[in-house]
Amino acid sequence: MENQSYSRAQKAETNRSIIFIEDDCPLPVEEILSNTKYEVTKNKSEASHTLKYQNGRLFLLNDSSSMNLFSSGLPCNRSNLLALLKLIESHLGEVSPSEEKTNLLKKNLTNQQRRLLKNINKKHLHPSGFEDVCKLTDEIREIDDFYSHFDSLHTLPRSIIEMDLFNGFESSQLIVHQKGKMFCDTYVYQSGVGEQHKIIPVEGFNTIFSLVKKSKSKKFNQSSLLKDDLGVLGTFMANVFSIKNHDIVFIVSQNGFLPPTKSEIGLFDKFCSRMGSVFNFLLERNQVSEKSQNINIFLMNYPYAAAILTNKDQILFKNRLFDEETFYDYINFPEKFISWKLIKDHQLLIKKPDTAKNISDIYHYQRVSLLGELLNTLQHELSNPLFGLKLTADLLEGEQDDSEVAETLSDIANNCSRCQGIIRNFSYLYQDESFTDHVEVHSLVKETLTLTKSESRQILKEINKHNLPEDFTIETNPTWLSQVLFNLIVNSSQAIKTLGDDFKSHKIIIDLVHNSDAKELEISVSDSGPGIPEVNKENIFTPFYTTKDKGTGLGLSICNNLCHKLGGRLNHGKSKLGGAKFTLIIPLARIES
Amino acid sequence: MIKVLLVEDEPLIQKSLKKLLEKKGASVDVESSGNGAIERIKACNYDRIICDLMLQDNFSGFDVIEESKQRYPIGQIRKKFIIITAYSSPQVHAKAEEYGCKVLSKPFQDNEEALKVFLTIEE
Repeated sequence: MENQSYSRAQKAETNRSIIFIEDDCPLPVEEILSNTKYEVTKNKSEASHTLKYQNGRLFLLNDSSSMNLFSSGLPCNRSNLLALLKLIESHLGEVSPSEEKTNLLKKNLTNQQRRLLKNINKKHLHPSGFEDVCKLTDEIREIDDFYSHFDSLHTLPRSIIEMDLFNGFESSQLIVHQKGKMFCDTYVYQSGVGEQHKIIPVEGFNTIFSLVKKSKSKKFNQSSLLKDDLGVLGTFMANVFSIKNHDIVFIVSQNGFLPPTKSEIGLFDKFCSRMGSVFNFLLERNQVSEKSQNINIFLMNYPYAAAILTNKDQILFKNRLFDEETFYDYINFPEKFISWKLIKDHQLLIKKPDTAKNISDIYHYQRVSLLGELLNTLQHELSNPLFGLKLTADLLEGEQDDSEVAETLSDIANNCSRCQGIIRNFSYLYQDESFTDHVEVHSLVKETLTLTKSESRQILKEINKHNLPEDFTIETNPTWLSQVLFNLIVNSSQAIKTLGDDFKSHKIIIDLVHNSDAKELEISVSDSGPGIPEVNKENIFTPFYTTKDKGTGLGLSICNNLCHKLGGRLNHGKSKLGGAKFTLIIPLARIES
Repeated sequence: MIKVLLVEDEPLIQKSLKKLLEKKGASVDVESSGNGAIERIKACNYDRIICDLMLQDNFSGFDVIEESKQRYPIGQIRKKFIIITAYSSPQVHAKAEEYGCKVLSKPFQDNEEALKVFLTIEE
């Protein structure tokens, strides 16, 4: 032992660095170093440094017997040997490679690498110039496959722990927060346990982030950050990055309670100086994949058939609505589709919507949402004063001795209640969302009749129940059902009015029939109007088809559409009263009475 | 005698509810604004505070409760406050539940029943 250390000291005095190159190094390191002041030795014991090649990386170890790394593993291949040379130089001293060597190497370089070399040569590299080299190599990704070790943010902690550089480290964690979001993603890798991805609230992240950011030493232990959000154990080293609208906390831990050594902290710092660009790269990649995922989901759920085709009409992507039939449709009638050019001559195809169905949908939605909003305001603004009126009338009635006044006050109170009821029912019928409820059919029909009062005034109306108890309840969408009835009753009233001014002899009959054999509920609206002329029968459900002066031509189209949405159908024919009869048939599969 | 503060900005409701409560033997102060209500709550000790949710000065009944926390512990607030509202949505009920307060929807189903609730003080 004594001899060895003596000989090493002697070598140091001669200012020549002796490097031992491990056998499995496939790079011509020896050749490159041959004309320099470095001495290559086959004897490991007399070397002051060892060059170790592992997984495409070169490591310069400062003592052959110790594995204490002092340089980051530089990804290495033939093309960036020059960078390697500079690395060795910067660590070992002032020696520069011979001009001849450099020229020899230059021949095999690409333009970009030549530019890099120029940069390296311009820079004054001193012993601590390692970082400069690193930075330069970072600048050209093409020859630096540092990135290739990191596929995604998910696998990054694992990749880091598996690097030789972090030999002895057990766990690593990344916490990534996109600014403005309430939650952040955390990726943890524990050797022996595996990878874990969690979503944590931003509050926990903020604590960790600001603590790490403020700290100069960058070393922490769990007790200073007693947080569930932390996936690592014991003492750890951490650093923060702010990149591309993201804040990132990067943590490595040996899972022990001994603080990291100075060299480990130095190593970590150097490593972190390179990680910025890695995060940048991965975030970019993440964003691209997130974007394409979003587009995918969007197209998948797009309400019309959509597909992406190659220029040879091969289908690369299609959503659920794009079936074989749609494809043939496209081949035969391309005008039915809208097409956008994408990269590589691909095209995005979207089938043009079926206008008939959509227009009535849109108009219905607009009508309901407008009315719903209006009724909401009415409810808010009228309820309170009406209640005040009622309460006052109640109070005064109790104090009143004059029976006539008391009766009037009672009428006021009752009318207030009725107004409240109408507002409440209207808002119930015009809820701006598709919801189902247990609906008492009879009272829904009665309420809907109230709604049509202005249009059907003076016309006699009847509700007849067949095989239907008073409180017969079905589970359905009350808004839609009432809309259909409303339209049908208004239509009947308007038809009757075309016959002249004498409405009193006319009738609208609403029949509620429980067809227990077919398990269906039939609601029909019959009138004594003129009926539907034969020529119009075919078009009655076509949007914008109207025979009225002020009609939109949408009423029946909306009705038909809503009936389908209710799972039923709408038939029409002649009524016994002489006019038209519309029958809404709702299946009672989910009957609960 | 039960001391009641009625916070309600609709004049007819305010007047008649005050009278109805007084008929039942309570002493009633009325207030239309949230700010005024907070002043009164700070100055005077009420057994029961009946509070409308939407008030004229952009104060909600919940804001009044929030301010009252300076004076009363949460256990007392639960017992003292009753919320009355014309817009009883599930959200309102959920929020009232956080404070543990009762909520009555306007219009009251039954006036007598409502008065009983107003004047029953939990010990």
